[in-house]
Amino acid sequence: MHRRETPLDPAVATELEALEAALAGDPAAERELVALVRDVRTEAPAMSPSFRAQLDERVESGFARGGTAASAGRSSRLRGLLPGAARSGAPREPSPGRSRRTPLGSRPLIPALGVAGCLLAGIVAVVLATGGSSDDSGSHASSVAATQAAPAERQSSGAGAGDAGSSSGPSTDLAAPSTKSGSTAQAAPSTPAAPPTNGGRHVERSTRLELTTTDVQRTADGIVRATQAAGGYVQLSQVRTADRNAGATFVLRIPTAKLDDALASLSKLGHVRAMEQSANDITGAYDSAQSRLADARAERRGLLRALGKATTAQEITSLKARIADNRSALNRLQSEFNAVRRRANYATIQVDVTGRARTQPVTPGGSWSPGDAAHDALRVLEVAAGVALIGLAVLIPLAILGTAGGLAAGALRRRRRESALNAAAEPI
Amino acid sequence: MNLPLRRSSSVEQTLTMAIDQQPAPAAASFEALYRASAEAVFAYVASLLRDRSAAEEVTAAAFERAFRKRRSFDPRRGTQRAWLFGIARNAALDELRRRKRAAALTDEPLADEPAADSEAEAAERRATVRAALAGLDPRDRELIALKFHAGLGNAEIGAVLGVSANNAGTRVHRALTRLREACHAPS
Repeated sequence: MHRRETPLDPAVATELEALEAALAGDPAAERELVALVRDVRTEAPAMSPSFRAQLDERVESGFARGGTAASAGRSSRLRGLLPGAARSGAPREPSPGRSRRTPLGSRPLIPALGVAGCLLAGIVAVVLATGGSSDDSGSHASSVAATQAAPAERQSSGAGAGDAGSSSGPSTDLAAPSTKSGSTAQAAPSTPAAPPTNGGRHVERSTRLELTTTDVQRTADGIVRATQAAGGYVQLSQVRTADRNAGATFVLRIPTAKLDDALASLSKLGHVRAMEQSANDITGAYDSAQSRLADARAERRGLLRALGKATTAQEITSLKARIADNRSALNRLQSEFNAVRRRANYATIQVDVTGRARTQPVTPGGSWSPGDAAHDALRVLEVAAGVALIGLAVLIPLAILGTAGGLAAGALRRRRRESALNAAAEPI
Repeated sequence: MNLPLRRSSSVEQTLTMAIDQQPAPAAASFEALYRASAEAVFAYVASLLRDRSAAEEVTAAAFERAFRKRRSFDPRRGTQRAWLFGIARNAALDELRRRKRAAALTDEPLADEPAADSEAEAAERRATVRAALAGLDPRDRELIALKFHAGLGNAEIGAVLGVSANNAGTRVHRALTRLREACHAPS
């Protein structure tokens, strides 16, 4: 830093030149100044020969740490140099405060500790920054599975007891059968397993299943095969095999007794994203239809008996008309009863299949192309740049604070030193 | 105690110039610096501390600190002697700060020794100078030591004190004036 130079007063400059001449031993120098220089120099404190010899030895040895004990206190470090101590053979008692001095050797540890602290803070920041964003999906998925397992179990126990009513809710429990066959036995009991006429009750059951798969057509074929194996039939099917938006929708009718087996088979065909199940007690509708059908049949039998006993043509014509009406009613009631019975005997399964992009596995055989390498390298650079950015965001403020603190400490130290010189001027 | 032979200022300047021409204070140049400056550093530190034992401690500590930091010397910021005296000054002021007071000079170099000059007039004159130096302000005494004992130029003194060369020259002139006044003052 350049300071603004104030020019010397010419008189002062002249006297300083005279002093320099006297100091240099110029014969033309002012005699009084020459004498003053000589006297002041004569009064200069001189080293004792023993101290000079020891200091010479230490300088020649390069201030070897072993002998100087730089890591120890300053008094102990310098005690061996003291001529007084050497003469007396006893260690010199340090003056108060001298032994409190921080060893010179420990001073470089302060910036080292600062750098280490900055690095540690940067590493912690990087770990926090990277750890918080990488596993979001995984942790969310596991938490969903954990929280939804309980409703699935409640649903299973409720349906097993034959309670009427519907229950629905997504469940991922059946994802297990797609991975391990051993888990299939555990997953199957979790689905509603109530027989259609449990305890004389008639229950209509329906299930909605969402599957994701990488091969929609293959999954669709599997659904048809599983349906046929369960003795059911496909009521509706829509399959889309486009590259994008591939998917399929099926409405299956499965005998209620085979519902659990069918669900287990279907769950193996893809990843089960969700499953909703409902149970509707239709005992009243079933009994009502059955009763009306029985009444119509009883009426038909009575009409037929009356027809056999009829003697007049008018009676016969009237009975035949009533029998015809009864036949129509009987057919309608039979259809209604069959419909109700089919609702109880066949469960409805709606399967929604969603296609997903196939991940490209990196095979060790050599499908790793230069493009993949460039992509990986770019990714590594992105991560490295991110880490460096985070590190700088931590280190720069710390460096600014450290620099400001160092400057302040230096200024304070200089001020204290100067004040020590002022204190030395005070009378003892 | 025998006084060491004081080399002439021209010889000292020659040594100083040779040392300053070194690009960096390597071990060999440091030893040369030590041999050229040891007495001056001790005299300077002793003038500040006025305590022979403490001056020996601080002188040794200053040279050790300079040796440890010899690679941090920057020729653009001044000469090696100015750098060395700056270290010695800091060490001496640290010692003063620890003591919080200036101790009396316990072991004046010539206090207990016979004068080399047998002439009574010369002995009286040196006693006057000694008393005048003792009565000076520590800052003035420091400047006298840097100028008379160490032989530093004004720019070097400015580097040691952290002031400009002209400011250092003004201070040296002021200290010299006070010393001369003290010498001429009636005892």
